[in-house]
Amino acid sequence: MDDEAVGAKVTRVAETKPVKIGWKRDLLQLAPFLRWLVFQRWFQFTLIVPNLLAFTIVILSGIFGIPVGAKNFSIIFVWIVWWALLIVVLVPFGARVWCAMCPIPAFGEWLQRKSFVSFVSQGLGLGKRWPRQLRNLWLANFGFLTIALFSPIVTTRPVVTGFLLLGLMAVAVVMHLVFERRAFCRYLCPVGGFLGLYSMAAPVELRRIDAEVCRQCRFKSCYRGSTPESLKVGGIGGYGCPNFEFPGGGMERNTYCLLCTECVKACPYGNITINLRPFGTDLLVEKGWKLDEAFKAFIMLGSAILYSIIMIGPWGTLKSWANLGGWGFLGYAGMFLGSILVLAPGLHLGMSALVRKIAGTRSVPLSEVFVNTSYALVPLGLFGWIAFSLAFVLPNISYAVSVLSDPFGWGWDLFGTKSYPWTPYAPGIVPYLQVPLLLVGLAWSVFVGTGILHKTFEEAQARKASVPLTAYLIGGTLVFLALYLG
Amino acid sequence: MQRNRFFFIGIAIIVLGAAAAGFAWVHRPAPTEREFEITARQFAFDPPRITVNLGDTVILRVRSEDITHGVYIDGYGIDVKVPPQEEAEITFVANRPGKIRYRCSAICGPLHPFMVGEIIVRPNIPLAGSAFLAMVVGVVALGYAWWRKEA
Repeated sequence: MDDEAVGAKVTRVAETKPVKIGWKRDLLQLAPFLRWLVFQRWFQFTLIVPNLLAFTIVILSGIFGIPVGAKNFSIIFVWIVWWALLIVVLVPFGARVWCAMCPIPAFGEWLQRKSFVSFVSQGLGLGKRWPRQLRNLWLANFGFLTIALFSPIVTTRPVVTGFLLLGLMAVAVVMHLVFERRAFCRYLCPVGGFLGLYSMAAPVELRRIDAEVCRQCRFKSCYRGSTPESLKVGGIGGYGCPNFEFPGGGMERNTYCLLCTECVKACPYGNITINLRPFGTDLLVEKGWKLDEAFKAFIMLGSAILYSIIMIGPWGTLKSWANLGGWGFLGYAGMFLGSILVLAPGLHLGMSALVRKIAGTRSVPLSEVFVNTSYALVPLGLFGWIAFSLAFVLPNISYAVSVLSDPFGWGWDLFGTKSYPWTPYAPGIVPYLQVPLLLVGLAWSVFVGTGILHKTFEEAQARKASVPLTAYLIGGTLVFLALYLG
Repeated sequence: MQRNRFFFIGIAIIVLGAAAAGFAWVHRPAPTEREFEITARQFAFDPPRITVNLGDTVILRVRSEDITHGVYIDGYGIDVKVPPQEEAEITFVANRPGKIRYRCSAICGPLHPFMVGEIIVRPNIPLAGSAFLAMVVGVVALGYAWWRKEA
């Protein structure tokens, strides 16, 4: 098929009514305005700018503002407002859409491209390749764990939050100038790793439309970026995937898609789109199941449980240890890291061994069962995080109203809301919101787990193996319930 | 056949659960008046958790050992400030079973948002009920997943 024929085929696809693949719907055909937006080069820039403005205020208020967290814009807007939006709305419904508007890599990417908006083929920087041995999530896991370990400090001290974000921006700039594309976002960003994990649950995806068109395509612009030749065929000019993905090559999971839509702009055939789809579609996609992602699942589920004990639990000793309380901090660190890096994987390993034994087969390696079944923890982990977040977001989000008027705590009253009193929302109701969330997470995890076992074992073996896996997931849910209600 | 067996096991579990809940409810202790001395200091209440029975009249004598703290009781609309080295008395009837969180309502330092205490009102029906529900949901989800695979 020559370029023209490929293009004609796609035009036919685009002219038909919304493409229906299973339960999927082509969102760009359903919403022409969104399609128009995505095809504007300034689309991502306009998403980033307001966030960059907010981050600037966060960094300035963090470093120069009042050191009291509850009265400082940086703490309230990052760890309560942004966090709530991220974990309750953006990730469950929008996958990694935050990454498309994140200001942390913005300066680095603009420098690397030598452009804010337009497509420039020759960029700046050394463009080195990221070391092969580090092409995984281990560094991101390590970064997240480090921040998580110090989170009682990071989330309560404005100056720490300010310097942390500034530091991340600086690291991102350096990485963009040394390495190609957004290596920072793919391999280092402590937030990106868990966004990738939980974005698999989201009901949106960016995918190719027609696999045959991509097979015939000789430009591979979605990965390499537009070229003068590809632009003669079509596309408005776009960079190759900043996150090293190859949508045209059969990207099947959201995990590493930043939804920046560069590939949509670059594809000469208009063969890449954004679909609405059932929640959690990617969780049963075997391609890409790996140990680094499995550990991300343990880290996330484990830290949600630990935060529920340390931060919203009543035990003052634990809080003072976590608050860099002398030698006690070592005990806290040991407990935190030991629970996440040893206890959680150890329990999962035990469950995997039981699953394998009950399935009655030795043909599937234990390591494979261990990794595969870890993806069953994703829905429970996501809903566990939402439930945990409600417990501190609802009682504390009213601080945002007063902080908006006085972001630095210097006595300003920009919008007349400085004196807005602390007002806990839905007091006493939070546990009754948490329970249904956890039950939905449990049911979803059981579905996913059963599906995973059917991909791992034969039919009859999978059925037997799903009993201990379900018991394990119920056990995890009971831990959350005991912490929130017991 | 197997589906029927699961159905009857499910019904039996629900009946047993309901019977246990009914027994606990009938044999719950009679309400009484209970007093507690609570110390508030950055960033905890001591004791961190107290336990009362449903219907008890609870009297909390809260003393601050360092700076001004507050006591806001979730769901009860009570908010009392406790100046340094002073004591405040809070009285309420624990008329809702389960866990009640109370939290510091006067900004007292970095970990202020996490300064919480807990009152467990027994019988803890919300915990027992939700734990039971979790087991039912887990088993039903598994049964549904099996049924879908068969279908």
